[in-house]
Amino acid sequence: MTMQLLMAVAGLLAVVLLVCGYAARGIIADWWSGVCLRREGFPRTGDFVHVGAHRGTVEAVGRLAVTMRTPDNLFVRVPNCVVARSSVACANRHAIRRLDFEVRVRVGDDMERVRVLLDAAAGGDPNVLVRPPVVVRLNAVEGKFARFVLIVWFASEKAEVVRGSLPQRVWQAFNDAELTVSVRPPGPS
Amino acid sequence: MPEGRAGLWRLGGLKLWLTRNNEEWAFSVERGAPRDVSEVSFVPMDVVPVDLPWRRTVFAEAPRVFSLHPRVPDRPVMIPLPGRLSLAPGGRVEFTGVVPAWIEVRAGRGAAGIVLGAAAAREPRDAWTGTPEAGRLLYAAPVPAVRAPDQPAAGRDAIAAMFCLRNTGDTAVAADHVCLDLRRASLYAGAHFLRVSPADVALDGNSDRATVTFDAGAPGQEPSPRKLAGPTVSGAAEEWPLAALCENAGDFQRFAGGLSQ
Repeated sequence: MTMQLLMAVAGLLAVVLLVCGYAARGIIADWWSGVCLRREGFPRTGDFVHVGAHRGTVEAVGRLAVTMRTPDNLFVRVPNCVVARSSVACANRHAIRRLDFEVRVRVGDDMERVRVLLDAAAGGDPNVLVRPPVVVRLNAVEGKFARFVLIVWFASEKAEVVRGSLPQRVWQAFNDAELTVSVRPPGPS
Repeated sequence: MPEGRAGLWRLGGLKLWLTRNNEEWAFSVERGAPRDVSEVSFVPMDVVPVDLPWRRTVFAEAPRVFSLHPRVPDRPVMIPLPGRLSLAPGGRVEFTGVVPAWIEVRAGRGAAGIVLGAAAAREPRDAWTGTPEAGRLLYAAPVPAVRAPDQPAAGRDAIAAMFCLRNTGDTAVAADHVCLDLRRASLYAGAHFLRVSPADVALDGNSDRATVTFDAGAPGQEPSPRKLAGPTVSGAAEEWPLAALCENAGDFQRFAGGLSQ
């Protein structure tokens, strides 16, 4: 009788544990992912990361979630298992970064002059590094337009400044030279 | 500082503005085209541009005098050579580089004064040495070094840094710039521009290291130059990877050409 009671209790306990375990499987996955993320050391507090649709500065890698502050000051909580399973890009892990600006000019314009103008505009930007040097490359000629790529390096914390200042400098240089130009920075940093 | 007036110090293209009242000093920087000028004047307050970004320091009672102190850059500087230079074993050559001076403004006299701020005489540009993953952020000297004993085309707002490149290894080494941390050197007032104690750059192709050592003495190009400041970073010698001195444009083109997006 006692044996039967014990078996019944053990069976009930097993069922309860199974149900609880099933219900908490997400929490367990997040907890274990958190352990792995902390052990790996990425992301860490202060990293500016892209995770899925979110990008922001990591404020904490918690037991269950990574919390971030976005540039528009939203507080975002991303479960650890999502971070662990996603591709995560960090914009400020290295001291310097590079941006490739797409520049379109008319095919009829003097290409050498375009090169010189682009080089001077980027070289004159105090946020752009002198070394590695600025690179101007003709990527394609499509119909009436020639597509250049303007490659600049800068200190990582100046990414947003360069993204704004360089197109303005390029536009100003071309405007002064009475040439038409369109400059497109790459996607968000 | 005269009452009701603003102090304006022009040095090359730099304009340092200073204002004072009983409880504060304010300091601002304006930049214009480079000129060979160094003068202090006290101008009426209505001449001061209205949109200057002021940096203010509040005192219980503001000192009546201010002092200006030339300083070396607060980071190492990359000085380009006139071209790519190869040094055979035992080869030795001397150059003089030009680096913008930093100006520190203090309220009060000499070292006891309170620092109001500091500014580079010319807007500094940054350069990177190393790989995209690891390296050092430096200031970039605006003009290439000249072969000694030629005088560099430097203004009153510049520091002339003389350095000797030596190949101490068994194989030829190449360099297209040098990296000097002038904080390890002493600063001197010369007749036409500031100077720092000379540096010896020993390039050793065997170990792939370059050792930069600053002389403890004054620069020898001028008779008895006046010492303005001693080293602010301890240790006269510093080691750099040899690659930091001879990264050529081709290497950077290669790593600029890879896909990053």
